[in-house]
Amino acid sequence: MEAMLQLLVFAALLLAGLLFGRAAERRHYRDIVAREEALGDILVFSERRIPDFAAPPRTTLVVGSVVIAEDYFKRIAASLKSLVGGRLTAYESLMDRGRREAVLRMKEEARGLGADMVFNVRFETASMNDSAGGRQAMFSAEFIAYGTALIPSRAP
Amino acid sequence: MTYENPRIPEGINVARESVPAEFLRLLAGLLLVVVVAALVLHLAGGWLARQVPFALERSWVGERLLVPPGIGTDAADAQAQERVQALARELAAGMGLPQGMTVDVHLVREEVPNAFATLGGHVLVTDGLYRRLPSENALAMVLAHELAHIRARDPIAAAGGGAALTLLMLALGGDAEALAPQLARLVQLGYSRQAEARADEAAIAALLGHYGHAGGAAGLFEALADYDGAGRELPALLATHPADAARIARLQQAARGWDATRQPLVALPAL
Repeated sequence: MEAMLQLLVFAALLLAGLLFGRAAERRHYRDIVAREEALGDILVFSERRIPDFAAPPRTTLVVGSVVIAEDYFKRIAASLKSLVGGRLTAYESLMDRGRREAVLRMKEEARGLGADMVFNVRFETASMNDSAGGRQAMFSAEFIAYGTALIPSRAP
Repeated sequence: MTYENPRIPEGINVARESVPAEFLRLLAGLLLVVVVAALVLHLAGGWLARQVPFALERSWVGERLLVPPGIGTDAADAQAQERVQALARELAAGMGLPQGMTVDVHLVREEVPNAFATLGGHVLVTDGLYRRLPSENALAMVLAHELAHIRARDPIAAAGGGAALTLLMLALGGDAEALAPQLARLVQLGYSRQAEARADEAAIAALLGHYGHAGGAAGLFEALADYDGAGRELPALLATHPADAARIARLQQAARGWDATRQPLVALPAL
């Protein structure tokens, strides 16, 4: 009876994680695609050297950062997949969203500064896994994108 | 050299396949592996436990009655107990128990009608069951059934299988104490039906040997049907005994040649 109850709670958590997690992911992806379209005129490159034609009077560091948490379903699905190995598909979308959101936030900062290009873009990812919580710890990750924004002279 | 950011197609860094579908496939596979492992371990544990000599099992258990929690073990009535023990002894003599296998029958004070064989060659019959049995023949059926379990070493096999499953749960890191009995019940469901059917066959043979007919053997089920019909829940232990129509039909078929007037049932002395 007790084990049955535990199983029911587990199934409810799993279902909640699946439904809410999927809804949040879909919403986020729609938002990402729309904003990528809107910010498409700000160009970003991983190139370190700023080409001569673009050499601006001012440059500054721009940073975008986001923290995304997994949902319960992703966590269980990932731990199950870890038994047999292979592509950890449950986390791929989470990491993809994090990287793109970080770039978008960096671009938004660049737009606020009047920049039209960001060079030397770098990514950092940090897992915010609370190991003190033991095996119950939830996984979340911080994504940072940073680069050198080129601000043309006409900008404010 | 031109500098531009072309639009990157979706789905390069993210798998297109559905995560829930993959999860369900993996879950089904995992469950299959666990169930097969549980089955194999239960059978292996049972087989190993059966290798333990009966004398050793008896010396481990001694006089103790190993029963599930919630069942009283106080002796009900010394005289009646002696009668039941004597009947069991007569039945055992006809059932060909192996050399050195002795069986102790305990009539215990407990309202819930129940009877089972437990470790160490102990058979427990509750006075709740005794009162409800219509005849000595029905009691003999119950006793012979439990004797057959002891002869087949079913109690120690169940204990060994259960121990193997607990080990599996511990290895998986699960909540062993909470989950192992559930898993054991699941595994035993199919296995115990066979064991019950075998015990029934042996008991019918014992009844035929003792009384010359198998009449009144189904009396146990009539007693339990009344108890069940009174709106009370059947005890969990009896739930593992499928009191299904096939079992009753088999007993009635065994009693077909019985003539109730020429071969009357033996009355059971009241407690």
